Amino acid sequence: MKKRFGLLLLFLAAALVMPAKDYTSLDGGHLLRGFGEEKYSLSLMAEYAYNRTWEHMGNVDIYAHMPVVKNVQIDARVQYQSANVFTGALVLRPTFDLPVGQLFAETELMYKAVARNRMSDICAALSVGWRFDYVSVQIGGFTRVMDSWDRDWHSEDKYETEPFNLLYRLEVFARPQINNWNISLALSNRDDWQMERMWQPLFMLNSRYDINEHWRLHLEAMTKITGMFHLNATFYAAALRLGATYRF
Amino acid sequence: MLLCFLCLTCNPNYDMVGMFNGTSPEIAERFADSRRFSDSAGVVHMQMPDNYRLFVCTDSHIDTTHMGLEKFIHAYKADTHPHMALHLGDLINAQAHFAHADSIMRLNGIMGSRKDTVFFTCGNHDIYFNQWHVWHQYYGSSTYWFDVRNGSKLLELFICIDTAEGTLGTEQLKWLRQLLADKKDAGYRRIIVFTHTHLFKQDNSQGHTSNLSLEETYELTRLLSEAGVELYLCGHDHSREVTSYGGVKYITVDACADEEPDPYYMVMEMGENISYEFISLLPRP
Repeated sequence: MKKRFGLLLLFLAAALVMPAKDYTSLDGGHLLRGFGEEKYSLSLMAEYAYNRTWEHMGNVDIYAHMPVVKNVQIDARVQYQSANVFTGALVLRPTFDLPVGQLFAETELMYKAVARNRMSDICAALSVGWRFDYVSVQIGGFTRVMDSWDRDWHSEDKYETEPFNLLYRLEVFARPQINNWNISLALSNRDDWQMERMWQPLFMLNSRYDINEHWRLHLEAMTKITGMFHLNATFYAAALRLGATYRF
Repeated sequence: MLLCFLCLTCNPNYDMVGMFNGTSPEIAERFADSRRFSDSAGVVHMQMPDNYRLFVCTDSHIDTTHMGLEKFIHAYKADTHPHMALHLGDLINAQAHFAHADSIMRLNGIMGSRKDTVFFTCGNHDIYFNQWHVWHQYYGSSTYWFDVRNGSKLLELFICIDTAEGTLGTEQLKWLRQLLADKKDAGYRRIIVFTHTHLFKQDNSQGHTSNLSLEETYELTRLLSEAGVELYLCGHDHSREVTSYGGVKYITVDACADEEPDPYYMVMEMGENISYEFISLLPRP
């Protein structure tokens, strides 16, 4: 047992001291949207979404990817939902090239103005991940604060907090990152626009196709199943996104 | 998550097929069944004095033993005040235990001559292994309302909603919205909504108990606030939580299951004001 543990430590040490390969990625790390490359990009996506509560919606998503210095990127995202919900998120992502894959860490703030219900939902997340050619894993935690815009400050009303939620994402890719197209399947409790409770997983099918060195097309699908850990699973929501990215 | 799944798979009381697709009819069909039953049975109008007691228990998870539920029934029967009771779901733990649970209540007289003084909602365990039809046979409707009156004076409006699979569904939400709009200005002293699943999750006290989805949480909390609902009573989490949000008090009642290390039920004094107390089911020293 001790011998095996020693070998494992030796392997990890060797992996860390070996010179990192020059990591050329066309994928977006755990996303397929521009992460992993040192270029600015802007994406615009149109989305049809449905859930059992708000029913049919049309949404518009805008993403900006900004590599501020080498190995440090900032992502900014905004979404308008026709259900009268607005979401904005800011992500700071340092990356570390390794001989095998790439480590990344994410600090994310997400603000959702649920205007239709006169409330806000703020999430702050910290996570780490490891991206290989065919697999990406990410794990971390987030805190949520929900507050009503009409809170009576002179009553016992308070804002609702969820101090710790687990954040996880597992994604498998069909092609290596240097390919000009890729398809992935992901299981996570968050996507770009929501951080669900840890027991409310989302299933995503993502794809990208690079037309040339500036233009990329995206097609993404997401479904949310509710009650999985009630052991009474049923369909709750779905979304289909189509859009394009321009890389400067 | 994988570890959790493997652990659950080893337990025959868990309906693992339901993790991927619920084995009972989904909420739209349960709602239709419930409304058919309620429409034919009519609305219950309870007669009570202005001050009465509301006994609440939840998550009894009846399996081979039934001590917690029986103690609750004894306490309820021994009470000399005018009273009624709610059971907030997960009456049974797994399959083939409804007859056991029902016999406990019938043997103790709680479901006999005073049958309509205990009101039930169904929980996720109650509909495991395609048992909705059994629950429906015993308790009729999982989406209904009744009220408490003193003569012609309206006291409380109670609304039961079905959240056994973690969603209200489209039709049930519309029904709730319409009912609240109709009753908001009817002159009730207060409106109380009761169901199985909790909306908030301030801690991870029972790890895998999932809530409603976020969109439904936003929508339902706003709807309850706008309609002037005073109380939302639920179970599911097995762990007590009392919070106020948007003018509504949300109370998650502790489980009364036998395997619980610290089981409780709740007694609420109903009057112009309300007060509540959580009562331990453990033997007192």
